[in-house]
Amino acid sequence: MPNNIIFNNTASQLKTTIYGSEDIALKTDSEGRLEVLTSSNFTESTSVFTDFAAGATFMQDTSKLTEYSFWIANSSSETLTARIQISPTDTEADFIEDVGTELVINGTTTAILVPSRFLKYTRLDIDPSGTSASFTVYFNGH
Amino acid sequence: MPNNIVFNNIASQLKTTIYGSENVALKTDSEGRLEILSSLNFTTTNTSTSCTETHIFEQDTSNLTEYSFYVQNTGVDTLAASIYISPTTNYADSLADAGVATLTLASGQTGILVPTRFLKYTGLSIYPENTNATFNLYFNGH
Repeated sequence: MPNNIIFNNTASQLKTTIYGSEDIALKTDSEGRLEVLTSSNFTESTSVFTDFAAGATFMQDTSKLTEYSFWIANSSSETLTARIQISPTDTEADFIEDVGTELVINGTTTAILVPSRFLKYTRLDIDPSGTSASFTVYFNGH
Repeated sequence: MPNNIVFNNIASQLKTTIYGSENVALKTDSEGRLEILSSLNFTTTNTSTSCTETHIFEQDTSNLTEYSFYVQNTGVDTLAASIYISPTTNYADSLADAGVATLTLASGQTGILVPTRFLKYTGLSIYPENTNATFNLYFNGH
């Protein structure tokens, strides 16, 4: 008996169907376009600052995010001055203000700050008016 | 009889054509770029109800990039609708979306509210201008 070819040795005729983690072939349309679903990378982070006398910062790596906001709840009677700062590095001296984002947050009120410029690192910089400011911050991004 | 090689053992010459869920090869252009179709994960929510005080219609928007609220005033009295955002599901943490004006709808009128700021949760507040509001609400996102 001759040694016949078992597999098709013409590339365009050697066909295979690709499966993923589920028992179903990768989805294409009738023209063969592969259909993809981009999963969202939602991220959140929170921190509570109690009896703060000096300036506080709350830094985030925003390199892979397209939209993000900071939420600040001032739980003390002191006034807070908050602004967004951005930097290509996480070195303190490299941060500069995202111009136009400074906001005064009165005692026991809540505010949202939305960065307007992009660099790898984005942070909140908060200065209390006195010596015993307390506040909670949240970062939400995706 | 010698034990011959069945498969081509030169990687660059072991070729195959990839198929997906349709009986057609994955689509590429003449330079071999794979053509993909990006699917959006559409979501829709609907409720019809009435209220005598503020009614909250809150959505988790963490994984959505674009979304709108559709409001139909199906009652007799005028109602007002506004957008709020929050990092938590605690209503006390919510803040008005400063970029969206309150919408006032008379009996039979329909309107759309589009959030302008991002936090994890986005909600619609409906409140009656008089004593009672009856309405049909839709949230559409993707």
